[in-house]
This record gives sequence, C-alpha cells and structure tokens, in this order.
Amino acid sequence: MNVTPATAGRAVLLRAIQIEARNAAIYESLAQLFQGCEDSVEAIFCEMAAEERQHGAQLTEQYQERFGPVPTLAEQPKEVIEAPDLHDPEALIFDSMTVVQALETGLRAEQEARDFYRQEVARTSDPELQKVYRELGEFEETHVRVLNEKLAEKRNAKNSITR
Amino acid sequence: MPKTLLPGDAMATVSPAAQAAVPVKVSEDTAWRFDVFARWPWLKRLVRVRSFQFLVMLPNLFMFYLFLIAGLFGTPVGNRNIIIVFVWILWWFLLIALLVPFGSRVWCTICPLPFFGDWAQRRAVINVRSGQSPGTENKFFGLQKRWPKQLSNIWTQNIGFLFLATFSALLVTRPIVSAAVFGTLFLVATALALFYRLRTFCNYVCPISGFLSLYAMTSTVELRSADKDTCLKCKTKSCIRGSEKGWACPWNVYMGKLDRNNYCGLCFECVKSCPNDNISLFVRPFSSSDVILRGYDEVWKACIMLVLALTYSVMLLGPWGRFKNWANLSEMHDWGGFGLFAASQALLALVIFPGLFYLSIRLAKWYARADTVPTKELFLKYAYMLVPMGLLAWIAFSVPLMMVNGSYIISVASDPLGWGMNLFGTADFPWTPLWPQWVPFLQVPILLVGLYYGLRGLHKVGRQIFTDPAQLHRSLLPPAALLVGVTLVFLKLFIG
Repeated sequence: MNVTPATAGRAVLLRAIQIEARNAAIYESLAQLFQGCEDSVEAIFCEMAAEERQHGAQLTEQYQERFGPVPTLAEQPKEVIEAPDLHDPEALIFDSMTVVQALETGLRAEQEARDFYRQEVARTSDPELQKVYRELGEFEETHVRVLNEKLAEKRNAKNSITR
Repeated sequence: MPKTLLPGDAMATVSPAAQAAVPVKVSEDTAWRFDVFARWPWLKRLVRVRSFQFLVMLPNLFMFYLFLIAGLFGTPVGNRNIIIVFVWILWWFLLIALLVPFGSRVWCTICPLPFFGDWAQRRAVINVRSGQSPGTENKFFGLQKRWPKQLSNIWTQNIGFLFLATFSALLVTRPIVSAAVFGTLFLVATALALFYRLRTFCNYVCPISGFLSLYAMTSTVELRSADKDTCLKCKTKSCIRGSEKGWACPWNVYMGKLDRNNYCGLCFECVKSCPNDNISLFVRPFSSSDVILRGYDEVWKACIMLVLALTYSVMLLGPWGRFKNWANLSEMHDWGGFGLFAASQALLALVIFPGLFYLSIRLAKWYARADTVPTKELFLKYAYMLVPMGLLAWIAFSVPLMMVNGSYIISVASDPLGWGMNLFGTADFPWTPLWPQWVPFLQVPILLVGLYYGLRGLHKVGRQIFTDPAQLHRSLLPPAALLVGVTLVFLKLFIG
C-alpha cells in the first residue's frame, strides 16, 4: 500500500483519537473495579475517563478541520501507546490503591505517549507528518503537566495531614 | 517490541499463541517457560468448559462429607479413621510434596470448602450471571461488603495456622477434633461469602491458603497472560471484572500484570472470561520466577512455616519423649508442659526466628556497607530464601510420615469409619512401614535441595539490589549463614 504524507498524517490523527477513546474505556473499567474501595480512587479514574473523552473530542475537532468528517473505524488500535494500566496486580487484594497511585497510573500513560510522539518527530523526515507528531507531543505534554499538578496537590495535602 | 504509528496495521503484535508455542528465554534473568495451552489446546478447551471446576470439585465434596461423617460417627482411634489417615497422611503428603511444588495452588481448584459460599454468592453452580455488582460485570448476591482494609493481609492466616499447629497433636490423632476444625472452616467460608465479596475466606482467613500462597511461589506452573501488551490494550479487564463468559476473578487478581502465584487460586475463570484469549498455563523451572515477598505478613508466614517444620520434626520424629508429651495434651493432660510448648513455639516462630533473620539482614547491611539500601527492602527481598528452604523442609518432614504410616491408607480404605467393614478386602492389611531405614537417605538430599534453592534465590534477589559483585557477596553472607545453620539443625534432627 502506498502511504503518502497526507494519508499518513490523517491515519496518525485518527489513531490518536481511537487511543483516547480506548483509554477512556479503560479508565471507566478501572473506576468500576474500585467501586466501594477508597471513594476518591474510583472518582479519580472517572475523572481521568472524562478527560480522555475530552481529549478525544479535541482531536476530533482538529481532524475535522484538516481532513473532514471522522470515519468510523471498526478495528481497534493495535498500539500500546498511552495505555493506562494497574501497576499492582494484587492492589484489590491488599486494598492498597491510593489516589496518588491512581494519578500516577494516568501520568505514566501520558508520559509514555508524549515520549513516543517526540521520538516519532525525530524519526520522521516528512515535515507534514512531523507537524502532526509535534502537535500530538505538545498535546500530551499538556496532559502530563495537568496530572503532575494534581499529583503535587494530592501529595502536599497528604504531607500536611501527616504533619 | 517496536512501537510505531505508521502504518497502523504494520505493527500488529505477534499473536500470543505464536509467541508462546516454543519455550523462550525471556531475558537473561528470566527462566524459560513453556506454554501448556499452546502445546495442548484440548487442555484449554477443557478448563473453558463451564462445568470444569464443579466437576473436579464434586468428588472432593463427596470425600469431605465422608470425612466429616467419619470424624463425627466413626471410630475415635485415629489410625483406623479415614479423616485422620486420608487427611493427615495422604492429603498432606500429596499437597506438600506434589501438588504445591508441581501444581501451584491446584488444590484450590478442587477445594470443597468454598463450594457453598460460591453457590450462595452466584446462585449458580455452573452458569455465569451477567449484571452489575460492585467492581464486577457479574451479578452476585449477598451483602457484597468489602473486607476491612486493616485485615486485608495474611496475618489472620498466619495466626490461625500457628494456633491450629499448636493443637496439631490433637488434630492429627482425634477424628472428632479434625471434623470440628474442618466443619468450622466450612461454615466460616460459607458465612463470609454471604457478607463479603468473592473469596474473602480464601484470601484472608483460610489457614491452609496462607501456606499454599507462600509455597506456590516455587511451583513449576503458573497461570499468566500470554502477551502483556494485549492486556494493556484491553478495555474491559474482564479477567478481574468478569464477563458473560466467566465470573470475575474470585481472588481479585489482575492477570495483566500478575507476576507471582501467591494469590491465583487456579479457578481458570479468567481463561473463560478473557476476550482476547490471552491467558495461558505455563510450565517453568522450580523456584525460578516469583521471588519477591511483598510484606511483613508474608515474611512472617515464611518464618512460621520453617519453625513449625522444625518443631514438628522435634515432636514427631525426634527422640525426645518429653517434648512429645508436652504437645500431647489429650493423653498426658500436662497443662503446664503444653503451655510451655505452645509459648515456646509461638515465641520461636513469631519473635526469635524472625529476630535472627532481622539480625542477619542488619549484619548484611553493615558488612556490605549498604547504607543506601533500606533495611525493609533487604528484609523483604532476602526473605525469599526461606520459601524453598521451608517447603523442602516440610517435604523432608512429610516423607517419613508417609513411608512409616502409609500402609494405614490401604487398611482404612476398606474400613473408612472403623466399623469393621471390609469394602475392598484390605481392612486387615497390617501396619507395614516402607523401608524406614532409608528415611534419612531421602531426607538429607531433600534438605540440601532446599538449601540450594534458598541460596540460589538469595543470590537472585541480591543481584536485583547490588550491582557491585563484592558488595553483593558480602550482603549475602549473613543470611546465607543463617540458612546453612537452619539446615544443620534439621540435619541434626533427621540423622542425629
């Protein structure tokens, strides 16, 4: 198959939209998993699911501006990029999940996505594609910043309680 | 695996089955593993059958019922009653010497204790019920409360097992006591299932589950996801949340990141519920992969088990009649002696031995000049050495029990309640110890195997902490010396 820069850029953006939608679903699953545990863990995962949906909507807007209506893709993204996951497989047994760990789950995923897009900028020679990757990298960087701020807030709150 | 966004389909992950069809060496530090389901797909089809667990549990449920009847109404003579002979000689030997080392927690697959609890929670024996209960995609019944956070560990199991072990002389000789204990466990398992979510009894209360979780770490089999990336991308997390094809993991384990056997009860529900067909059974070398204890409760479990193997060996195999009499409360009625025995055993298991281990860790830190390594980290990680050592010490203890008393199995099979029946014509089979003179020749190599795997495990976890070989070896010396010391004590007990 011939992949031109334009179609490649379109595919990249489309895939990014799909990934945001997938991750929203994953966060919703994690939120449900922690129902009845520490309330705020469930709430944090719900919040992150909503954020992912919002990111998806922003990317959809971008796509529509550039390429027109977003096609419906039956196939799920095969990429792992920015996949949030439970770090501790026994977290539910030991009831050990905290709000900070939940936020760290999201942060790891966003950082991974940001680093990936940055690497792709360096790896690609096509300027159009580089532009798409750069924008996506900046997009993820914003999310990393937001999550870092939330984490700092939670850690500070925890420290002040401990003191 | 390289990750790229271009073109989307070009970097499809390698299919799990293709990845795992041949034994692979994952990394320098990871042992090979062999995908059983990829090699024998019929086995996967078998465990996927909805009635699989019920069918393998059913004979055990019947046996359990028979044992309770025998305990309550059979002869009070221990070696003529099936509950004593089949449970404390046959089952114990099979469990510790075969099922755990070669089958992980396969006993939990067939254990009858949670049967009625599961039934009450699911209101189904075989079928799955879709719906919504807290944390799952299945409909469960009962109060579905969460177990208190403060008790979400294995301390209850530790204390429970130590308590039962203290009364072991009663337990292994009096059918009525065995029946009372197993009957109580059965009732507790059922009652907890009515109030709390999933297998609360198995995870936090069952005293048998506690040591199974610890020693399953060494096992040569593991149930794991075949491809971790597939789990990362999975939107539903059905292995832990359940689906219309399988119940939510009764043990609350997330397969996507599972890296040790401790809390996987091998119910195979995740094999049924995984939408990506990504769960498989692997064979791996003994005591090779799961080498990290995660908390003090698990370290104390390792200490308690090792100490109990030692005190049991003193009591049942040693030449000291006085100790035996102290433990044998039911016949000797020596309350003072029993109190002394119980207190000494608890002190040794809960304070002295863990204290010695802690001391070895402090020495290791000092000798290796490892000021930057937290003592807790070293304490938790180096405790793995006690796991294979403990298991092999228990096997070494159990071998003579089987060899010396195994013939009772033949006679009791014909007369399970001691009522004078002769079902298979073997009721009068005489007590025939099997080559008792060879016992020490079996015990010594078994113990040495335990020492080898203990030291090997110690070295393996040490390499995860220290990069400098000199520092590594210095840090290993004190705990290794403790392990050698423990082995020598066992050898002294076994061969005099």
